Amino acid sequence: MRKILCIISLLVFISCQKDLKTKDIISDLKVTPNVVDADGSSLVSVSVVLNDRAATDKRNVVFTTTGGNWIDGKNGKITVTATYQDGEILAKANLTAPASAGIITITAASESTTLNGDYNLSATVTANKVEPTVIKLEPSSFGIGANFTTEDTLVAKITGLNNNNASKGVTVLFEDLNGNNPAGGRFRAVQATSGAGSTVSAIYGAPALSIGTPITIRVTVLDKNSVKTTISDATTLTINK
Amino acid sequence: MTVTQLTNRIRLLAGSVVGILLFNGNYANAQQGQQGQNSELIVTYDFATPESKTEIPFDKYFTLQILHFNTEQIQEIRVYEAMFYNGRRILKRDVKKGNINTPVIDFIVEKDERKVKHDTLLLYFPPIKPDKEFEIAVIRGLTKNNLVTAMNLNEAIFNNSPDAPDYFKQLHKGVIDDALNLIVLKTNSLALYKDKFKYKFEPYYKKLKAPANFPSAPFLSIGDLNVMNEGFTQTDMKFKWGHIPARLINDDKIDDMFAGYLPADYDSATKPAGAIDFKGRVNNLSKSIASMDTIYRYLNTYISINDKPAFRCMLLIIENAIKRLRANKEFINTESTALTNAIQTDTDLEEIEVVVGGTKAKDIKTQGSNIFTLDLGLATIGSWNSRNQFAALPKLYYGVNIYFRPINKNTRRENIPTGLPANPIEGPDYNIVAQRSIWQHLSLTIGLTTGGYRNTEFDNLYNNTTLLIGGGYRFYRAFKVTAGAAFLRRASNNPVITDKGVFVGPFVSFSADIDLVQTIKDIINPLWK
Repeated sequence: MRKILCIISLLVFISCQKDLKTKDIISDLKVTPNVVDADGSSLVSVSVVLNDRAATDKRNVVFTTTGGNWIDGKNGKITVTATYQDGEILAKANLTAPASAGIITITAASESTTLNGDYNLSATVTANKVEPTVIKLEPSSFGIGANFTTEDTLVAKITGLNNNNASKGVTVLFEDLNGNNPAGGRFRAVQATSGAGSTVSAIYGAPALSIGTPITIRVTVLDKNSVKTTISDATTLTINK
Repeated sequence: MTVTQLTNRIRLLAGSVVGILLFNGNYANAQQGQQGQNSELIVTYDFATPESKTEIPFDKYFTLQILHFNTEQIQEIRVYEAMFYNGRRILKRDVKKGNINTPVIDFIVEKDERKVKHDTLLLYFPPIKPDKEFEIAVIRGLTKNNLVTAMNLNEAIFNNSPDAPDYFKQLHKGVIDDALNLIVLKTNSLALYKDKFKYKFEPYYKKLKAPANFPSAPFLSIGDLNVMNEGFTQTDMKFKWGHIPARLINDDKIDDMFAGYLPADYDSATKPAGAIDFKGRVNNLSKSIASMDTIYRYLNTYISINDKPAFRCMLLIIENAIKRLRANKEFINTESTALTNAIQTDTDLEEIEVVVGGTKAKDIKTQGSNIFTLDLGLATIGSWNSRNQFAALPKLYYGVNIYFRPINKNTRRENIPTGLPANPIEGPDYNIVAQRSIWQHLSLTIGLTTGGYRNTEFDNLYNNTTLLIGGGYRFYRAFKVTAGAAFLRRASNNPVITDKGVFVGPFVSFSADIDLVQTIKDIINPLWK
């Protein structure tokens, strides 16, 4: 009788569901590259392997990120259907790097929810700051009316060493010069700090100057102490009426 | 009434109802032993044919009725386990105990002393284990032929005859069972037999052979016979027996006549009776008594005509002779009967008659039905679901039970004895006697469930059935509880896997024998018509 009870106990024991682990659902989260320029445009390739017995209607994988943007994603989240590739059921997504430096966390999880817990995989990507090396200013027009009768939109693109966008947060200074002296015009709607697009902008109105007077518009990148650096660009507007 | 008393009464009532409904039989107490009242079946075996109408059951008390069998002189009935060796049926020897040559007695059978008929033997058997071969050895004292051989052997030994070894061989051969080579003659050499003869049988022979040892000796003297002879010569009547005394004197056969070797009226053609021809000697004595009686009556008549003192004297002598002849006749009768009894009741001088028996199934169908049974029952499978909660899944199932030994479904556990000595050093070893054992109840059960699962997390293993494999315990003959492993399919707790995988879970079940189910169905069906 004791043996029978032991056998039944053993059967009860072995009939227990084994503890579910994340690798039983998804595994092998790959992020390539895991170090990227924080230029807002570099691509990060993300893939994860789904359990090879996953049902066809249970193959959606949700990728989330704390930085950058999923291509075709929304709000830092994208749902991808895994497909059978090279003997594995793979879910893939592409992420554009953030414009800000820092460490971003990418998470993959099965869309099929479980009642007993969340089973997801995470990986990090280091986004390195892209220092500005070049700034290029583009006016909306090279002619401008005197005495603030017209305005010119000025946009400056800041790029890094590899001609990619510089990380956001670069601060610039807009100046107008009539010869070596300030021209006395006015800048409005100044966006002096670069955003995700790595651009700065301002709208400029010229003062009462005679027609044909050249006005030099200069934009200079400031360092963290708001001191002008050598990175700058300039363009000349001419009073045309 | 206390709670205990009430419980006991309910239990008793329930037991009685179940007993009446299902078993329709009487409970017999196995502890009562091997007695007629325990017998559940009578097996009739015709020794003349020889064949039996029914098979010998196993695990069941039974009475063996042997027809056309000599029931005389039976001293003991033993049962020996038999086996087949090199195509021969032999008795099993207990090699472990060193009994290489002597078969071990399994048990002693009790016989009914009330003989139904003089040629019918009733034997009460305890339950026998299945698949056993055995021999029923009926041990009896020496019967006619062997008794004559033993008498001849005794005489040869008594007379130091060279024929003694031949007689011994003849006796040895006469008491052995040819088929089984089972010898019951314990004095299995002539030397041993002579020893036995010396202290047990020789005194009878000494007494019976020598007339001088007879209690009535001495008999008539020569003087008495001369008186008679002279008397007859004085009569002028012709007397038919008048020559008798003269011839006895002349031939010196007085003692031979009184010992019964010769009749009084012997002549030259009369062959003397042998010393152990007790019947012949008694006949001779009867004849002599008749002769003497005739002489007495004739002489008595003659005296009434011619009375002489000598004739009176003769009458007394003849009267005395008749008394002695009668005493000798009685003596020989008594002593020879005592000798015969001594030989026939001697436990060293026995002969054997063997009846073959066995509990092996005669055909594969019977054998199969003793091993395999079909059940119908309800199983409850236990399992942990995907949320790790225990779920009980009741299922109807049918299954086959494979017993580890043949079982007799009609045997009640209570009727199988317990407490037989396991390994007795001496005496019967009860090796073929069935004892109550767990193996009469345990079986391997293989079953299949029917129907689907209401709980969608579970599914059948194959083709709408779940496989059950377990160990079963039979009780009340027709019922069984079984516990074991169920093979079915279960949903995974992995959210991405929707296939139900095979797993093994425990189950317990309660079932009834198909035969019983069929019987219940037969009873119930008419009620619905």
